[in-house]
Amino acid sequence: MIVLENVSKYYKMGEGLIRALDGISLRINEGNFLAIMGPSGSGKSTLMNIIGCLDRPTSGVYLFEGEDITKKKERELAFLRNKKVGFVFQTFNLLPRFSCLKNVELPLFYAGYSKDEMRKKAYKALEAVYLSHRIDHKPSELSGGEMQRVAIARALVNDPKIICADEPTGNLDTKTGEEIMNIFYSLNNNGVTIILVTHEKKLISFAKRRIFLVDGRIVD
Amino acid sequence: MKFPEYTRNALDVISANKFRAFLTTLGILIGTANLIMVVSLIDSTEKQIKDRFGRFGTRLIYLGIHKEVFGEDELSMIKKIEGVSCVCPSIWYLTIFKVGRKDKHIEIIGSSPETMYVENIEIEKGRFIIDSDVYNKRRVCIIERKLANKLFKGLSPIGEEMKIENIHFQIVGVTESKGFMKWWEDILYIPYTTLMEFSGQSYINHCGILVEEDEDLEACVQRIKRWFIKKYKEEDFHIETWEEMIREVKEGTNIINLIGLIISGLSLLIGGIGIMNVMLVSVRERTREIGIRKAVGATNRDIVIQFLIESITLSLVGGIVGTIIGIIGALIFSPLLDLPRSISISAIFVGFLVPSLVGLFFGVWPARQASRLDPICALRYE
Repeated sequence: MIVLENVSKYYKMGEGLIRALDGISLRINEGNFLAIMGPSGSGKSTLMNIIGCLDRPTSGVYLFEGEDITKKKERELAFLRNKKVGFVFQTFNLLPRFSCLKNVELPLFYAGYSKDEMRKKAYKALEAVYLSHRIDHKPSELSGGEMQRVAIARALVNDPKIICADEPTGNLDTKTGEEIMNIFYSLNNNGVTIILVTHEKKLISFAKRRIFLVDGRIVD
Repeated sequence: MKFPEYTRNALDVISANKFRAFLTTLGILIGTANLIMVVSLIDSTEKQIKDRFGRFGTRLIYLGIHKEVFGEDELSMIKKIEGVSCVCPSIWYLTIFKVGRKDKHIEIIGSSPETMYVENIEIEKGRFIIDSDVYNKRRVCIIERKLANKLFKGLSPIGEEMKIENIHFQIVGVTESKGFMKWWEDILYIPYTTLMEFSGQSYINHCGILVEEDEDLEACVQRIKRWFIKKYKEEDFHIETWEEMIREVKEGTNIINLIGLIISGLSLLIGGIGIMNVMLVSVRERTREIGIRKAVGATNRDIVIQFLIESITLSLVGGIVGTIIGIIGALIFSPLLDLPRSISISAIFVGFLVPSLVGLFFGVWPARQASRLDPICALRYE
């Protein structure tokens, strides 16, 4: 489903060039649970952002379901992110002014659903993460674990093919982190491809496959 | 449709920063209020001109005579010119009149019965000048309501007397206040024959001429001109049709309107820059929100629309408040300038359209800035 061939990402930094990714080749099958590991600055978030169509590689080929992402326009990438990808971040990234329900409705809003459909689907997604009793709460009224569950509901509300999670348990205590990982685990069991970026070794047990990045290269 | 949602969202954002929104839209508010007042006053002036010329407007010629030789005989000669339906002399005489202890200027207009039609005067109480008043040089007068209220405090003035330059005049009628061109002083109508006797002036210097229906106005003007030149051998008079009068009045108010429009324009410009500034701040503050929106599938276009609607809404909030203030202002100022109260639909339309356009114009740059943010940088923004 996902094929990366010799993908590199360079950033200009003053005079110098930073090689965030340096010739990555990778194949991810549908239904996989991939853990991307490595020290900070190794390029794991950059790789995840490219896989999630949030960023474009500087060179190389990236095929998403057989389509070349590097040649896609901004609009088409936005469409892919909306329909095929769900993101979960370390800092949750919920809109503070919006209620949980509204936060979860956001991807549906850009997908062009009607108000009723949005509400119905968002409610179902929140139910799936056991938060149907919190729909009208604002993020600031929730605990860290609850916020991350809202973020997961937002990521899965549009039935994506893959979910990209960047250190999703980084801001949570061990027990809550495990609850979150269990949600990913069961999502994966239902066929959703999960890409997990983490540096916590104990989370690897949830993954079916892992890669290790150092200085923008896969070393293991 | 995404628009209602964007608008609701924009109102949320604005109400979360009420004081900031208030300060931002102050320029728009003042500009719009000013604009509404100017537009309303233009409307009122036009309405007043139409009122003044009334139903005979298109058939009126005004004649000003500079020679001191124009009297009753000449009047009846003009009446005989082809196409002239009626001739209505008027003599203006400015004098001083005591109201309480104060001296007040008062304009006495020596009139004929036809003046009522030519000047489109409306009688509120009593009557206007009649033929026998003119013939007998009766000392009767018709006063304006404004003056009547001042002098008699709501009691009926009919039958009461007024003393002007030691001569007693009996009040026989009250007219609607028109105050056209003469809004700074009071007006009193008396028979023109009475005025000629009373002031010692033996000639007539103003004349309203009503042209017959279906008669070509310009042709009639030419005939009157020819008559004058034939009689006096020189062009020592001026002649004006209603069209020229309207043009003159409008030219007189154009400068005031222009100044008003310039002030509105400057306020709106400053208001617009204020909106642009606050929108740029807002884009900065909400960089992360933009990143989140892009991550879940917002296109650049979605972001542009969102921020444009926000700046338009912000501007419109000021515009709506400004429109309300402008309408109230126009309702207060019109009577002070002796103009009819008139709020036109076009003024309200302008009050909505102009702030919207200002919001749109000054919102484009911030909205583009927002849409061009790189989603990854935006998501990392603290």
